[in-house]
Amino acid sequence: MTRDPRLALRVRAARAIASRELRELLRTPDLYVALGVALTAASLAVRSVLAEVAQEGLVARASPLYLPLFVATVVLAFSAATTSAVSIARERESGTLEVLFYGPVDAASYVVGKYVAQLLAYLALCAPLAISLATYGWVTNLGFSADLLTGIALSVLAAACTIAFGLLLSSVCGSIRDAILLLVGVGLLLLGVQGGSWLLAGLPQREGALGVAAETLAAADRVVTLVSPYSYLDRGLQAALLGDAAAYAIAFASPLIYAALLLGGAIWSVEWRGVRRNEE
Amino acid sequence: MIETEALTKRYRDVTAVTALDLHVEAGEIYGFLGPNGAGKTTTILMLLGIVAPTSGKIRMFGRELDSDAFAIKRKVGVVCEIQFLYPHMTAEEYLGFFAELYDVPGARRRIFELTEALGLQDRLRSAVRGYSRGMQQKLGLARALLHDPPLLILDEPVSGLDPVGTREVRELVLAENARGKTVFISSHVLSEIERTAHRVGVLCQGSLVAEGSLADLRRRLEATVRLEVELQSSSPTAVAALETLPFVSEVRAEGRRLQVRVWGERDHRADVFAALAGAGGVIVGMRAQEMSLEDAFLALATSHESRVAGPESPAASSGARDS
Repeated sequence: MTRDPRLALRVRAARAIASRELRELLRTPDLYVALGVALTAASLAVRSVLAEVAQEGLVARASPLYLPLFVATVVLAFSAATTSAVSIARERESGTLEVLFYGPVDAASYVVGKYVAQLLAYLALCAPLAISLATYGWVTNLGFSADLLTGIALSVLAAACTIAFGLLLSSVCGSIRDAILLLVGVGLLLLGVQGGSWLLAGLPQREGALGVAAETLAAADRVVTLVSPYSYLDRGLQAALLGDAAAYAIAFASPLIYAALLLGGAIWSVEWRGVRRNEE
Repeated sequence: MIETEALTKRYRDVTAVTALDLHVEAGEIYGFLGPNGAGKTTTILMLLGIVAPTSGKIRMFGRELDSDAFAIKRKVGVVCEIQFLYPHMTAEEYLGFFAELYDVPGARRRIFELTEALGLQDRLRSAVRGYSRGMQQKLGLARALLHDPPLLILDEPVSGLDPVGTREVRELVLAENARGKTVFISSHVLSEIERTAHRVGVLCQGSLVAEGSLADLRRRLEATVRLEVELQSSSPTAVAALETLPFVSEVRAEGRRLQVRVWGERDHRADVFAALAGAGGVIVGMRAQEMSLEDAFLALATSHESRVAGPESPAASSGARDS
């Protein structure tokens, strides 16, 4: 079987970009700050679980460390989304993106290279996360079940979604500032829809305009649940805890499809938006 | 090596490049000239696939750029006016990354050779953010040469360099050309083009107004040659004798110095000498003034602008001749 030379060139370019990007990620403090924040947030969550134990005398949870795991992975996934969202926009703003495209780099190899690097960086954080959770479980006697390891593995898939989501946002932006504003804007919009839907759903009387608003927000919430990368994170962790085979399958397949669609969008967007700096 | 056919780029209501037909032969140094805003950079960006043409075709290495841009771009080295480096990287890391990207065999040795040739070896492990403009320019050049491409596209390669750096880059470009590389060089430093280019193309307002060797351009622009003659003393009879000659178009006398314009491509210095001697003039010195590339470039630019502006424009009346 003859290997397509163009594909081989693209793979080489993507590998070189991923390698450089990963070195950059591991060299800068952002990754370690994110890990520190995630572990701090997880330890606070462990404290709240322990407070619950002290108050109630027992823990009514399938896995007491689920909350700390969820909190930590949300922080790490959000950090990965932010780093990704800034990634392409920064290179476009500084002009380095254009220089890369003078050579054997195209939108597909570039976006895939960036994506792989971000995903590998997230994977690198999973080991200290697992060790920390195991330590928390051992120190507090809350235990550390295999479900949590599955949850961490599934969180990689959820992170794959948030990274692709960040890269898609970044691909349309010409500066770091625009990328951060867009990420915050989209994040607030998603939260606003979910929060508004939850608030209106809780109202006892939903007549007239309020009822229409509640229904509209509920519909929007269902869409948000479908498109928000964070909902994949929650579903993945829930599936791990429930141990449901069908839920596992969905938890594996849906983020992959979702991430592939977003990455395709990011590649198209880099081609459409171009690689030149804003003022040019 | 590079061929464009009716290459056009329009941005909404502005046409940056109009029906451009470029022909760059393998092994030559092609100087691409034009005033600011002429469309040089847009043309280069189209050649690199960074900007999509509105219409027209680009062929490089005998293949349509669209057909396999990825493989074609592997054979091109590019230096632009601003290098856009990764400021935190060292030169070694930067070149190492591009060596990986281009799959350069023996990358370490190649990086060492290039940085040594460009005088960067002492700063190889320093972060690029501390580099002067000239050093950044040299690093860009090293990046462009790293994979030993058969075609170099250089956009203002000596911009920001001191005279020593300019000479080093010029020598490097000439050496690479001597090794068989084709060089497409765009610059506003006309003297650099004059010293390096075999042929030039002059772009004005998006149109190629002239293309050819420097000698061709001069011939096209200046059908007359200016001779400067210095006599021992002023001689009205000598001036009168020159004015009777059929190949003399104009004689200007400033004391004992004469400026004589002669028609045609033949060397008329001997005829002028004989006429002056016959009229009793004693010649102390004589030299033919050649049009510099700068003169040629300005003449072409003015001529094109005059044509575009129309006959009623003030520029039209003062424009130089463009045959």
